[in-house]
Amino acid sequence: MTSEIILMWAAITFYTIGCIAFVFGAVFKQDKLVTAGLWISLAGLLPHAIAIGIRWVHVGHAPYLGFYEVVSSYAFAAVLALGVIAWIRPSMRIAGIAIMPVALLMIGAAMLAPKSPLDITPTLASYWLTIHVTFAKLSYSSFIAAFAIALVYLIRERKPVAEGSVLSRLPEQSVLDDLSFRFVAVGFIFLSVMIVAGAIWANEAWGRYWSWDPIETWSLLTWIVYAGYLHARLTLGWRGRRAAWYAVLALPVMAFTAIGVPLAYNSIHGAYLTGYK
Amino acid sequence: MRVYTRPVRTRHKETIELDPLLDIHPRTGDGLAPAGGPSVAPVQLRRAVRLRRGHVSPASLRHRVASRLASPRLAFGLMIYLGVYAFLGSLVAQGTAESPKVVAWALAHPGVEQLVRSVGFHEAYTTPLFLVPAALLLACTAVCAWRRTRVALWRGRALARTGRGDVSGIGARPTFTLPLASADEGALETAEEVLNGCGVKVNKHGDVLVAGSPVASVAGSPLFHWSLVALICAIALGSLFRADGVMGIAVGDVKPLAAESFGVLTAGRFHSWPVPPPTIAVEGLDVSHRVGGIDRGAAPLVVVRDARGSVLAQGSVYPNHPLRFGSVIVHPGAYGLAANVALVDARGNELGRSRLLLDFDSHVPAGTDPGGLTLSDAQGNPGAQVTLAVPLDMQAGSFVQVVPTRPTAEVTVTSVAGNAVLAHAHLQPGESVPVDGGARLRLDNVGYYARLAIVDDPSVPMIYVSLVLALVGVTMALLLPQWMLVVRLSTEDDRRVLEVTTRDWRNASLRLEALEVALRAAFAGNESGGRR
Repeated sequence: MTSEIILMWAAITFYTIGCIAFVFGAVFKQDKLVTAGLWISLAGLLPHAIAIGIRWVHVGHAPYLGFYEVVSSYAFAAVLALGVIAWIRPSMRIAGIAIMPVALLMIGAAMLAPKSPLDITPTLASYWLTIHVTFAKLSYSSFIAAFAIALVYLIRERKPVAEGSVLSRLPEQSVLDDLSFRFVAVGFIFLSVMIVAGAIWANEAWGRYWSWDPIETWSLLTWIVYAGYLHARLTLGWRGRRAAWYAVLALPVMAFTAIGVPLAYNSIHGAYLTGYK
Repeated sequence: MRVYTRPVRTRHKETIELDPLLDIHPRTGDGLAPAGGPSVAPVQLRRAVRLRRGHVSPASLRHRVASRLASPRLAFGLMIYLGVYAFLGSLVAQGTAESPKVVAWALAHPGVEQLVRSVGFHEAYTTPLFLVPAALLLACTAVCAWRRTRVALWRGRALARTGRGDVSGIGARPTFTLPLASADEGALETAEEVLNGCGVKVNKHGDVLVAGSPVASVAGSPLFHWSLVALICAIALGSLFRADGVMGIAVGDVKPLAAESFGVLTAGRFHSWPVPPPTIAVEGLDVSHRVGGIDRGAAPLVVVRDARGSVLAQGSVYPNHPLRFGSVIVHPGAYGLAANVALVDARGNELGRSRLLLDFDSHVPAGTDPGGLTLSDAQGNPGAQVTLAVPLDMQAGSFVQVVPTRPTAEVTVTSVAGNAVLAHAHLQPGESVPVDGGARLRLDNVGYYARLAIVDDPSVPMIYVSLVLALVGVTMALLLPQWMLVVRLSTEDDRRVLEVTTRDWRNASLRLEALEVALRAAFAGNESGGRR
């Protein structure tokens, strides 16, 4: 446990320094600072991954249960998503200015939560848990990435970008707009798989595929919100600023579903975050 | 949106020829063009679209209804309504008026309980406020699916036709043109080389180059929307044919799969159990069933037999490991104790047997909720009341939820009116207590009982199939680009040009832009006769 905590704090240190580098790099238009911020943040993935691995071996299951494990793994997935974005489009590494604070907040919140492990209950002992949780993390990461890109789009559109600044080196607005859409599209597919897997699993475990449990309802709400984005884009032709604002405003719904609902509602489903009562 | 493939006869008796390959923007009526290309919406086209919306066809009511249902704004509005409704529903406890969580919620929110109850919001997802908009959204989805199918069929035929080299249906106006040097005989080869270099597979048919997405790429959206329609229909119809309930069966006991065997049962209007009914038996119960190193809890061994006694299904039932036969799924519920008792006369002849199912309850002194039994005489008149509880063993201050090491039953016999205790005893197996008329109630043994949650839902396979198809459809619709590109030699103002016609139907604008940039770069400087 001690080594796990030490590694987590090492990861937090890397993420903090990376976040500061992103912010200063963007404010003072220092491209090298932004690049350094990216590499430092990605370096934090190593101790973070080892900490998750140590806990995995110690408790006997993947990071599925309890606020600490779940939110820590979301932070990991968010930083990993930043790495993927920067790999696909190196000029997009500035998205870290939006992603890293979110990741830092999440891992900070995780560290403040109780860390006592939760056992896998008979209901959770199923391969559907792996499928359901994996696609949940993939979808939430994709939506966070779309949010970050849309935010950058709006920031750049709002005021003239100085020549030679970090923002000026990003791809054209049309490319950012397209990338944001693609991340929403991929996130929507993952979210759909998550909901379908959850419904099939619920039927296997409890004999009912849908019972309007608060987290089920909010997952459907998130699905409807992002379905609205896709409809607006593909059918009504929403592009650019409107689509970017939609992607930005949709994220709180997703965030509330992932973290807010288990805390605010008394639900059997929410035990994954708040523990068993 | 409708795409016209033949001349339109309007109300004003004029005939309008339309380009068959034009897509129409649902709002503006303009023809869609790839980024940077000219608008291709002639005045006649706009008028035709407005007149189409103004019901040019004799079946105008049908078209009007279909147009309304196909409106993206209506679908948007319904999704917003259902989303807000679901959000409000999540704030209110859901269930029947008698359910504990509804009662608790009502006590905690007395101010709004009256309003919530008046609109039936405790069962929010079965009220007309939810069902009607959901049905309307289903209708919208169905109309949308139909229209998308027609568009997909049309696009698929266009892709297949051009793939064979038949570009007769392509409109006369290209997306952009590339001027050629007068003696540029290898222009098509150059264009083919450029496109191949951009990773685009090009087919050459005479003096035409064609490229495009696979024909199957257009199937995603219709597949997704039809799957949603099938899913909602399956859920709605399934609720009429579904039954789910809870049945308590003691170990060694057998019950028919029929309504009277259930303690709690909810059945759809058209549900019926098979006749003759199969039987369900619990032939054992492992209190702590371990699989894969994990304690799965209590796992009853359930055996289902048909009317002839042949085994239909059998196995241990525990979480995520239900028992299936036909459309029926048996899930584990809780478990408890079963006290088997017999009523004997003064000579020891058995007059009857019964079994009391006792649930664990850590809030009562014995650790089990007492079970009740009413004795009746030969004419069926109610006699004495029997209350029986089995005290559990204790360990470290907690009840141990297993059959006690030395099981006993605390039996209390009261008069019919309940105001006189006729007998009270702690019985061990084989012992008895006197009841009315010289008879005695004998405790035979204490065992386990399993509470099984049984669901009979024939719609589940269709729901699963619809879900999987919807996933496939949405993946195709969102990830597969739909586009087409045709390059052909032509003459413009007595000059040889390369005409490039593109169609960006979905997710392809950046790719087509890149191809245009590459082609323009390849043929830059041709005004002066150069090639590249």
